[in-house]
Amino acid sequence: MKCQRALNEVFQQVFANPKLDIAPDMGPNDIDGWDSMAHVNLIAAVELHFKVKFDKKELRKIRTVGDLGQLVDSKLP
Amino acid sequence: MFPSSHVTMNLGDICQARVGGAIRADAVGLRLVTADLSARDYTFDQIDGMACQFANVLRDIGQDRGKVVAIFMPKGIEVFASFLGTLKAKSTVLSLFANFGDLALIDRLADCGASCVVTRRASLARLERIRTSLPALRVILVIDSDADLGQDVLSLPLRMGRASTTFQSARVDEETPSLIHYTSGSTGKPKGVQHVHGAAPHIAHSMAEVMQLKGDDLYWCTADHGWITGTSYGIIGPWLHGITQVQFTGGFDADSWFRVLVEQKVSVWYTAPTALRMLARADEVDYRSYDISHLRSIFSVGEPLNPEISRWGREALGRDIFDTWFQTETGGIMIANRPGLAIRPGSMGKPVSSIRAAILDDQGTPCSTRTTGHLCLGYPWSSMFRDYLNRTDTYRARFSQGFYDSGDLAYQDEDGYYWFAARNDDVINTSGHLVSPFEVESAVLELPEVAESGAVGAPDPVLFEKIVVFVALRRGFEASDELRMKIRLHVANRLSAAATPQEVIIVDRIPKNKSGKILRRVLRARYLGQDPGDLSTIEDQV
Repeated sequence: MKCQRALNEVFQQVFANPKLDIAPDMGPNDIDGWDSMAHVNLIAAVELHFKVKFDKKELRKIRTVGDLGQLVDSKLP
Repeated sequence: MFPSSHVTMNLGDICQARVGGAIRADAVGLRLVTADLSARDYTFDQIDGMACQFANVLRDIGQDRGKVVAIFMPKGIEVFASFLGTLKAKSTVLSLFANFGDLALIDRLADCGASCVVTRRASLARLERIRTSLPALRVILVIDSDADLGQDVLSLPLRMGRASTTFQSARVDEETPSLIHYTSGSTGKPKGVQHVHGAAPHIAHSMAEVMQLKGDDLYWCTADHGWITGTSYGIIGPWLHGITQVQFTGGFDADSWFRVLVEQKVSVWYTAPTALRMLARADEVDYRSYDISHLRSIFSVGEPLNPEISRWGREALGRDIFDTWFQTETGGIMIANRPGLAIRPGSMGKPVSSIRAAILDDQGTPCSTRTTGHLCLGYPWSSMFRDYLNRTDTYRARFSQGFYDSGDLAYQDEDGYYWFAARNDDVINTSGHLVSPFEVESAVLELPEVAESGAVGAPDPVLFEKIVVFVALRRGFEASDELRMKIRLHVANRLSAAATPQEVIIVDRIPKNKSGKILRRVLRARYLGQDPGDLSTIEDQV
């Protein structure tokens, strides 16, 4: 993930955990507070931070940090 | 109000097989389906054994008899074992949403003096952050660590592994405290709603009358255990009847949820209108292509079911959706649609047969047909709450002339159907979660950029109501998308993701009356483009 460092900052902000250190294989069970409602906030924060937009089909594929990171990478210039 | 108290069944023993009872030890009591849709079955005997182990652990660490044990984790087998085990040990369960933020946790854990929290490793950092605000907290049990993590941060698996699968449950009477759920009001902190072991008769009766379960049913209640529905009808109710229940440990996802329904052959489904609305909007799923012939009944709870979703249920699923109504305080279903009662789309239905409901005016006089008034319930009934913790005066104020005032406004039609009109306060019902505008405003005010805030609920096609927060900034700060996001995330982390403001509107001033009270009706009217009404009491025109 090229965006990992910046993505980590977004995760830290969304889940209010400055010590959070994301890894590609992490999912909702590994990060405190990452449930379906918090996921909506996460996506909105990622879209705002990276100035990108995800469509419904792309969103359905996100299961892990790595899925999200790859999606962001694919949209960055 | 409750003059007599008799020895009754300990609610922690509901999975225990008894001669002539509903439970067969080797029957499946729980099927846990994980996010990848794999399933694991637990027999009633296994569930009861784990509950006994948990009760033994509590006794060993001095957390039995009169303590408050908080369950703070996502759905999993440990939720059920710790819920029942705590009751067996005669301590009280505090059932929390796993997504509660720091402020929400402090308000609840400190108010009820919880001395034990059962949680997972991922939530430890959150608890450590607030630990100094929780002087009563003695021990944290961690469900996913095989070793102790500190002197008072203990491994639950380690202790469960050593504990006996038998436990002589504590003797309880009908008034013995069992469970606390917190609920929000317009003002002040959330209130701890106290329930008792004697709640079983109404929960069992309402479930039988409304859901009409049969012995071979597979029942799925989607509610989280942090919600009264998740405990009354996601733990206690089905097992009082010896029914096998499915629980899904993944998050909401239309395709996954529908696959659970289909693959597990769920026959009775209890869910929320928000989930049904999200399913209805998931246009990528062709529901007609699935075989749901086994699905006999669908019920919903949490917020009024709009007629459009009733129609969607008939068209897309070929099923009626039966809306039900109750509250944290009532502990069980009070008014409901159910099979055998003709549905009037949008109506709450009719009272459960043992419940006396009435629409009363401000003086306590019955309202005439189709006149909106206070929705009140004649008391007592077994599952009703017994107190607001530390706020007994507020509790007593809800009762008058033999009736409990629900705080909802409703009317009755000429055929006895009840129709919800509105809340009688400013509480926001967002996807079934009652959120206090005061709590949202307080959280927003913690941010250094914010001078004033006002929160209101506004209609939303999916959430029923969305939270809209108006914010006046301190001098030197400017509105930006980043600041709006910061406010959203701050509220989510301090309260819960469910309390996230969907819109943040920056204004110059928040309208208040001359005594400083936020005029939320003015904010709501402004948002909806309506006439704000009488502005004579406003501090300054805005």
